[in-house]
Order: sequence, then C-alpha cells, then structure tokens
Amino acid sequence: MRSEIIKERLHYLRYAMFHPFDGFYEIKYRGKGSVLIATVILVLYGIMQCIAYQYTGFVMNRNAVFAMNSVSIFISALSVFLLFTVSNWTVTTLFNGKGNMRDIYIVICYSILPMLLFNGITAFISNFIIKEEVIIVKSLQEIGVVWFVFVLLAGLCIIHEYTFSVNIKTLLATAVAAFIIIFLGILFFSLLERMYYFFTSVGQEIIRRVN
Amino acid sequence: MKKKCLLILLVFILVFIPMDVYAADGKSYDFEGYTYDYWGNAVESPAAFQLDRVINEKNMGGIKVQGFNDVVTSGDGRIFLVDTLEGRVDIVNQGGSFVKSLKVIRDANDKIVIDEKSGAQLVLSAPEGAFYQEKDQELFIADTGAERIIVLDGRNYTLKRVIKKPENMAGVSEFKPSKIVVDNTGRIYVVVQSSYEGILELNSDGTFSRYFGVNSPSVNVIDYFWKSISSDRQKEQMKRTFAPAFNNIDLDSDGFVYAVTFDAAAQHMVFRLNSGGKNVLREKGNTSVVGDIHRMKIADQSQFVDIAVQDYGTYAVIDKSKGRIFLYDFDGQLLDAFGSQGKTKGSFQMPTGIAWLGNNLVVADSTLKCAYILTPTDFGEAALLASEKYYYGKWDEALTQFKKILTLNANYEVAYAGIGKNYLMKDEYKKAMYYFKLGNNREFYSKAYNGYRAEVLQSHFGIIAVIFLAFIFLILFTEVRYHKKESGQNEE
Repeated sequence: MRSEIIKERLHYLRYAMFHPFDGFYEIKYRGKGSVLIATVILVLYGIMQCIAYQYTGFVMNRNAVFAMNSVSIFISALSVFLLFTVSNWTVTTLFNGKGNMRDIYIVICYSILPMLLFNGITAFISNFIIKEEVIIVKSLQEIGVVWFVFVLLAGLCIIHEYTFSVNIKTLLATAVAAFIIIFLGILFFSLLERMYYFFTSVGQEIIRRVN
Repeated sequence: MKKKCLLILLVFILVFIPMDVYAADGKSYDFEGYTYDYWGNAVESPAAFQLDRVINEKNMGGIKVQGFNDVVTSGDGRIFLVDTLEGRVDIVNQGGSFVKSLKVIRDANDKIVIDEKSGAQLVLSAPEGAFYQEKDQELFIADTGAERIIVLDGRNYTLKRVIKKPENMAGVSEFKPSKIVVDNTGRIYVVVQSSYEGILELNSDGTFSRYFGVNSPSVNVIDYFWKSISSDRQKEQMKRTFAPAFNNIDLDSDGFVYAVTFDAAAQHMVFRLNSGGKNVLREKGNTSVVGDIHRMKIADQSQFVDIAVQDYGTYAVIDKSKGRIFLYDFDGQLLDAFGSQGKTKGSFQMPTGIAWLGNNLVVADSTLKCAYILTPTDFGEAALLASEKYYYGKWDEALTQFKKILTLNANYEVAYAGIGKNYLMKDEYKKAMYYFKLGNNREFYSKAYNGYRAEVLQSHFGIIAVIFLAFIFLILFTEVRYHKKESGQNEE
C-alpha cells in the first residue's frame, strides 16, 4: 500500500517537471506531494554538489581538490534552499499567499530535480571532453538552471495563487527577507558568543574566589 | 616546566637562526626562492641563483663609487657599470676585476676631446644608461646631464661620434636620454626621462624617426564616472592621466624591445614590443607577468626597474620595492622568484639594473654602491637549460633537465608541465596526461586527452559501433512496438 502511494507521488513528481502548472495544482489541492521525496531530492542535491566538486573532469575542474571540505559544501548547498523556504514563507504570508511552508518546501525541492540531474550528467560527461567542448557541457548545465527557475516560478504561482507579476515582486521581497534573516542570525550568534564568554569568565572568577 | 622552556628555546633557535644561507665555501650566498602554483599560492622552491662575487670600490682598485644606476654586458663578458653621480662608466671583466673607468672621453689618438662650441673637455655628465652593440662593437652611453648620446669604440673606448638632440624631433619631451638600446640595424631606442610619449626611436645616423610603443594607461571606473559628470572647468582642475613612462628597456635576439614600468596606472608591467609598437608579451603562465601577485593593496605590487632578456627568451626582472628578482621563461611562466631587501651581503637596497653575463646575472645597486655577480645554483642551471632546450625544440635534452629539476624541487609545476609537453610531442598521451595533471596545466592536458581519446576510439571502434547500432535498433524497436499498440487500440 505504502509503496503504491510512493509510486503515485513519484509519478506526480515527474508530471510536475513537464507540466508544472497542472502538476503543482494536483500536488497542492489533491495532496499528491511528499515531503519525504522532497527531502531526498534536497539531500541528493547536496551530495551531488560534493561529487561535482571532486569528480568533475580535470579540464573543467578548477577546484583545489586537496582542500575540499565536503561538510561545508553540503551545508552551503542546502542552506540556500532552506533559507529561501523560510524567507519566502514569511513574505508570502504577508502578501496573502495561499501556500503554507510545506507547499513551498515541496515546490522548491521538486524543482531542484532537473538541476540535480543535469549536474550529474555534466559531471559525468566532463570526464570525457577536451577544452573546446567545455562550452557544450556548460550549456547543458545552463539548461538545468533554466528548467529549475521555470518550474520554481510556475510552482510558486500555483501554490500561492499569484499572478506572474505579483510572484516576481514577492521573490524580490524574499531576497530582502533572506538578507534580514542572515543579518539577525549573525547578530544572534555573536551575542550568544559574548554571553557565553561572559558567563564562563564569571564562573571562573567564582571558582577562583571559592578556592 | 624546564623541559618545556628548553623545547620552546630550541624551536626559536631553529626558526629564527637562518640555516644554509652560506654555502660550503663560506663565500657564496644562497637566496630563498618561491614560485606560484595554479591557485596563486606561493610555493617554496630553491633559489635559482646564488651570490658569487661582489664588485665594489675595494676590488675596483680604489675608483670612487657613488652608486651604480645601470649595468650592461658585452658578449665577450665585459661588464659596464654606470655611476651617475660620479659621472663614470666603470668597466669590469668577467671575473670581476677592474679594467678601466671612463670619465673624460678621448679620441683615437688618445687625446682628450674638446667640444667645438664651448671649448670644454668632453666629460660625462650624470650618465644614466649604456648599451653595448655587438655587431659594430660600439658602446653607447646615454649622457643624461649633457643631453646627448656618446658612441665609443667597443675595443679601445675612443670616441666615434656624439648624437645630440635631433633637429626634426617632434613632441614636447626634452631630450634627456636615460636608458638606451641599439638593434642590429643600428636603430637607437631611447627611454627619455619621464616621457609619456613612449620610447624615442632614432635612426642610425641620429635623426628622429618616431615615438614607439605608447604605454596606455588603465581606465579607472570611478575616475571615468566623475569625469563623465563633471563640467569642463572641473575637468581642467583634475589631475590628468598621462600615459605611464617606461623605466628601462632591453633587446632580445629577434629584435623585439622589452620594456618595464612600475607606474601604478599602467595596464601591464612588462612589455615585449613588436616593430609596430604593440605589446606581444606571452602571458601563458600560472600568473600574469606582474611579479608578486597583489591581492588587496596596490602599494604591494612589484616595481620593476630593469629587465634582462636571454637569447632564448627567458628574462629576469628586478623589483626595487622588495629587492626581488623574478625569472620568467618565454611563455611568461614564472620560473623562480628570489632575493630580499636589506643591507646584508647578498640582499639589495635599491637595485637599479640587471643584465645577463652568459648564464650569470649581474645586478647593480645604487645605495649599496656595489654590483653583484650571481651564478645559477644546480636548480637554476637546470631550469635555465631546460627552458633553453625547450625553446629550441630539443625535447630529449629538455626532458632530462626537467627530470633533474624534479629531484631538486618536487613542487615545481613548470617541470611537470615540461615533461608532459615532451611526451605530448612524442605522442605518448597517457604519460603526458599524468604529468600535465601534476603540473596543473589544463590547456595541454586537454590537448593530450584529445589524442588519447582518438586512440581509444580507434582501437575500440568495433565495440563502439556495435553499441551504437544496438542503441538505434532499440529506439526503432520501441517505436514500432508503440505504434503497433496504438493502431491495435484504434481498431478496437
């Protein structure tokens, strides 16, 4: 039973890639989306970024492979989309968006899929190319990005019930919100650090006095 | 606790007491060298040169030295040192022993030349540069203070002719020749002090020909913005951007003029000018030809005061701000950087000139009042020899030198790439790819891979063709089946 549900969800994932307007309509209003599949795609994307860093062919790969940090690559790949989810949700609740956080998360993660696939294909192909063919591989990558943007825009339009222009406006506002979130995050953590040092120094002082 | 103190002391001793600075003979001085890797990180390397001999007042027989401002060499190993303040050109032979000092110019009959107009003796007045032309055996001295060029016979140093300001000279620059080179056809290229009109080119008879190789200033976006919105009167009050002046020039065996500048406004620091005055310097190395890579501050950039070019295109430039010598091959690949600023033996205070003496380098310093003769170390000799053999297309000899370099410096990307190029020439693609990967040379790796791929495709052509045909067959088969199914449904 469960496997059948997953199968159906995967079918709608594929449907949404080629018919994003209808597909995301089904996903939102008939409950055909799956957070599990979305999370799997997101994690796979993070892993793919690590793979692309190391295993892109030598001709295209300008990274210092000996200095690779897979944890930071993975986290920075994921955090962009998670940040976008949160900031888009905060903005669209103010702009009368109909989508909840779950919908936004599913739309973003589903729309990563073409980019993920194209990144995998180009990382593989790049091992068999010469310098003159780099431009072909690069353009394949671009196709993945364009596809991602298209599916994302369409999906957001559907789940929030926005027109295209309102959607663009909210996306601009989302970018601003993301900056504010980053700013507050840095502020919060630096204050936390100061507090930590304050309390530890007070504690040390007390221990010294007691002794 | 005591042990810890001793340990720290030991570490301090090891870190701060320089070791291996003096070679075994106690006389020569090893520099510390470095190169840049593909990502622009400085990588330690043995220095290419060591100090062999110092030329100063003491071993020149008591001739007074105020500081050398230029150094040139002749093919037979004579060194000409130009002392501006003393108004002398001192001649030293290959071994560093003193030969002659020129101050008063004499003619062929060993009589002091009298200037016809003023009736005074012909004496050098603040000369700043010189050049020895091999073909006609002539010594050119840029007599800056007297605004003339003095041409002497190269063997007995008697006067041949004096070149004064050409009457048909155009432009606003004064005729104050500072640095000078003469090519094999007798054309004279003169760097005129603080001229922004380029290098002055004179015909062999001393008449004006043209200005040559104007150095275009780089356009600053911010300046451009302010200029675009300011009024004409404001523009007048603004500082004008002049074309940066060249500092020094040299000539290679093909007749190309090499020039350097350290003007911060210049787009390039080193120039190789073709006969049309265009910069055709090859910059195919890991870094562009700017000396030290400056990331943040413009003040940190290298200030090249002189350049010396070998017959096989390898050139050395000297940076006065940090007292460093940068050695580049004809591709613009940094071979080695070494040297330091200071007052100790072997370091430079205010280097002003550099010249090749065979495979040795002669460096003049104006503050330390001396010149150094540097000889290549084992590493430097192999590096120079390798780039020479590579330049002349002698792959096998280059290969042995590159392999020798790798035993001395395994971090040397140039050598890996060199070995790779050698194997590429022999169509041994697999080996070439291995070495290009180690040498971080993507361009040549791609060339080697192209050959390798073609080889593999050819040798496995049968299998590849079969797979390809099977793939096409599969597509056709599924299409046919799909259409059958469709038409079958339609019939129902």
